[in-house]
Amino acid sequence: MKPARELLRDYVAHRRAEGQPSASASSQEENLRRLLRRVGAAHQPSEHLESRLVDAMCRTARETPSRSDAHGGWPWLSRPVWRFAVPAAAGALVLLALFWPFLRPTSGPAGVAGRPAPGDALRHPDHLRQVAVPGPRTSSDQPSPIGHVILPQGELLRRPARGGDWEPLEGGDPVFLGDTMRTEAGSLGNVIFQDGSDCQFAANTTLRCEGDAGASLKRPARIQLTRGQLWVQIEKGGPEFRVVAPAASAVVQGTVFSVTVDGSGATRLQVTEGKVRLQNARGAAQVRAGRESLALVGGAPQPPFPIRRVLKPQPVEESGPDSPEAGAGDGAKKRPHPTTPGSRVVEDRDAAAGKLKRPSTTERYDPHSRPLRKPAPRDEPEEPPTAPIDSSGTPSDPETRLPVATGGP
Amino acid sequence: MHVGQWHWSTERMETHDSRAERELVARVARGEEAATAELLRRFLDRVFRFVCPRVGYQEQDAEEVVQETFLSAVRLAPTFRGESSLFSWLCGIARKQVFYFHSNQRPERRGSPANTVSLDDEDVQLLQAALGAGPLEQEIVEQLSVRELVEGILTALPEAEREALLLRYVEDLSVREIAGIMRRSEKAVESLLRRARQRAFAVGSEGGR
Repeated sequence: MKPARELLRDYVAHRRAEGQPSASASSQEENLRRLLRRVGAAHQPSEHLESRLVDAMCRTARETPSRSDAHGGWPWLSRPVWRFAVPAAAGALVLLALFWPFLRPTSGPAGVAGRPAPGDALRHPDHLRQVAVPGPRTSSDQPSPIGHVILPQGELLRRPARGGDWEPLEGGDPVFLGDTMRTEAGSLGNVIFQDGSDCQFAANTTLRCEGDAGASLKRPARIQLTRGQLWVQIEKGGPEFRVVAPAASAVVQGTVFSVTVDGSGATRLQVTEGKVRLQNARGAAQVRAGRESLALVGGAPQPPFPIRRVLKPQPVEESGPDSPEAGAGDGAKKRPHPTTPGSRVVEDRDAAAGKLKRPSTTERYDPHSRPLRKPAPRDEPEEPPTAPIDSSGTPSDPETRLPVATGGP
Repeated sequence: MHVGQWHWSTERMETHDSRAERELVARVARGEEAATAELLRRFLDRVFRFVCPRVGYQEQDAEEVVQETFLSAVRLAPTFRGESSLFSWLCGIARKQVFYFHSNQRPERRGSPANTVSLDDEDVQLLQAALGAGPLEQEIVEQLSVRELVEGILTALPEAEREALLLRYVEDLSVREIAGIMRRSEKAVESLLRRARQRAFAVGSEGGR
């Protein structure tokens, strides 16, 4: 056999001696292809390998369980994707079942699902500032509280929108749309809404916060006052707000006023700041600051007249919480403040406007010793009752704020 | 007008050959002797050529690996879905069998084959010069010493470059098919081919040597 070195050297020398041009790239590639194929062709399996393999393969095939046998008659299970997909789907279903109570959409009334347990929120007065500030929502499915309770006096109870038993509320507890709140005898309730509006209610008062849950409200669109007395300071600039009482509705946009419902359902409106329209199916009355109006059941609101005795929620002693005679105003005169005997709480207006703190000053209060800073002009004619008007007619209100106090109707 | 024989499946377009190959494998899995013989007739030599350089051109070792490859193919027949060519699928099995073969070898046999040459060797440079001198004469191609020299060069090449080179020029596969067998991108295969040609055989470089 001629050595490769000698053979190749002779070939190259011969090509150069003849002056042959160098091979092109394709020619070189073809040379390489021929060499490699020759090398490959030089190695062949032995003649008996094929026949041996046929026997061995047929025997192996017979000994190997078929696909359907291996997967219990479900041949598609042999595909790798199903081998992973089936356990993964089963696992996902188990996880979904476990977390379903947290994931399911709310189908009940607004402000029910995701409600924290009573007393979960901050309870210490120092923390109330944080409580009243609207916080970011942690989940789109979890409703935000519409407001927070400010240190109730006595017993303040809540029945969630989803129903169930009455549960006690404490300072800092969140309040949701749809909640019904009730004060017992000798109690005072106070809720600061997310927009800073202040709502205080007297003893033996039952009310319900209502509104459209999807409207991302910072205060309820309306409060259904079933009984008792409500004092409200509504922040300006928000949507229309109304207090719906049995005999009439008070529609406002930003003012300070109180609504009282006595045992017969008669609704008394006192306006401390701005203008409020008291209306029902039989008529309406525009009530300015320093004036009040009364609507009896089945009758139109009376023409406004100067406030004789300012009403402000305060705890009263009552024979029973559900007694129809549980008017807050009458009892207010008889019952001193439960935590400060002999004195009554005067609302610190700055604190109230700050929407955060409980009254920072406590002093003896005489509603007649502190005249209203902006009484209605005496020479201004009273506004007569008018025909029912829609809410769009609600006038704007002045910036003046007036102190208020409570008293029986 | 005939537009080709395409069969629609729920997952992809597949060629007529793909279906035929799936049927062939299914018949082999059922133990049909005719199908098994057909499979071996079509692929035994090609798989042997694929395995041979990986075991240092030791034919007995290559036969052992090829035998295990086809027996494994029977056992794995249900996993063949026709998404790649049957030869690619067999090459994948053969690669694993080569790995098992080397794993079971005694350490002293795991070294480089004896016929490995250095790419700086004078003979290698002479071969490169001959490839660039013009069309090789058949006498040189057939020469046993030249063939052994080429085998030595192939053995000296990195495994990936050698595999790409042999699949491209011996099995005449496209770059895409090689990429499927080697589980690499087409660009990676092109890079391997270019490097193997230029470094080992000086083919593709400017003017050759």
